[in-house]
Amino acid sequence: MRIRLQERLAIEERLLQRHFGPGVRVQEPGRPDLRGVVGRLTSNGGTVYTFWMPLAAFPHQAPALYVVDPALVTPDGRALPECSHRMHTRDRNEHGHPQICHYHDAFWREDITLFKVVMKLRLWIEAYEAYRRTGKPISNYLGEMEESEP
Amino acid sequence: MSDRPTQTVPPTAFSLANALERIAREDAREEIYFDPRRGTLVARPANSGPPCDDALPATEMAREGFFGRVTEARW
Repeated sequence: MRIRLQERLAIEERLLQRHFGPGVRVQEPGRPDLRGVVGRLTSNGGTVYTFWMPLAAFPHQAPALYVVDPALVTPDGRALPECSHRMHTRDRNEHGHPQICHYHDAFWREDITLFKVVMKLRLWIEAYEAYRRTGKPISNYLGEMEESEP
Repeated sequence: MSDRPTQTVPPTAFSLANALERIAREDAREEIYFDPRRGTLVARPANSGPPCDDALPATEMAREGFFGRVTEARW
C-alpha cells in the first residue's frame, strides 16, 4: 500500500522525535518549496549542531543535508572545503553552508527513512569533531559507499 | 594497610573515533550504538550488547559508508 507523503512525513517526524528528541521536526509538510527537516543534534563533546534538510524531492531523491550552525571549519579556522571527497561534503548552498554527503543518489531508495539520514549526520558530526582534534580527514573515520553496492 | 591513595580506574574506554576508523577500514572490533537518553554515540565491544535497552544500533549506517564520489575541484 502506498501512503501519502504527508502521512509518511508524520510517521518520519514521530520516529525522529522519539530517538533524537523534540528538537527535530518536519517543517511545512504541505509546501514542497519550504518542506524540510530542521533539528538540533548534540555531539558527544557537547556542541549543538543545527541542521536543515530540504525535502522538495523526497522520497524520490536523496535529500540534501546542511549543517547551518555552527560554521564548519578546519582545525586552523578556515571554512570546511566544499565538494570534498575527504570531508564528505558537496556544494555549498546559497547561504554558504556545505552540503553533507550521506547517500549517493545511485544508492538512494524511496524506503530509506529520514532517521537513517539523521543518524548518518550524527556519525558525520562525531567524525568532524575527530577531524578537528586530530587533523585526519573525515574519510579516515567514515568509509565510502562502494560502487558495487546495490 | 597500604597508605597508597586509591586510584579511580576509569571504565574501559572504547574510543568512538577509533571504532569509526576501524569500521571504515573494515576491521571493526566494536559496535556503535546511539543512546537516545543521553544523545550520545557509544562504541561497545562486539557481542557485548547495547549500553541500555533503548539504545539504537548505528554500526550499519557507518559500515555502509558515505557518499564519496565527488569532484574536488575546489579542494
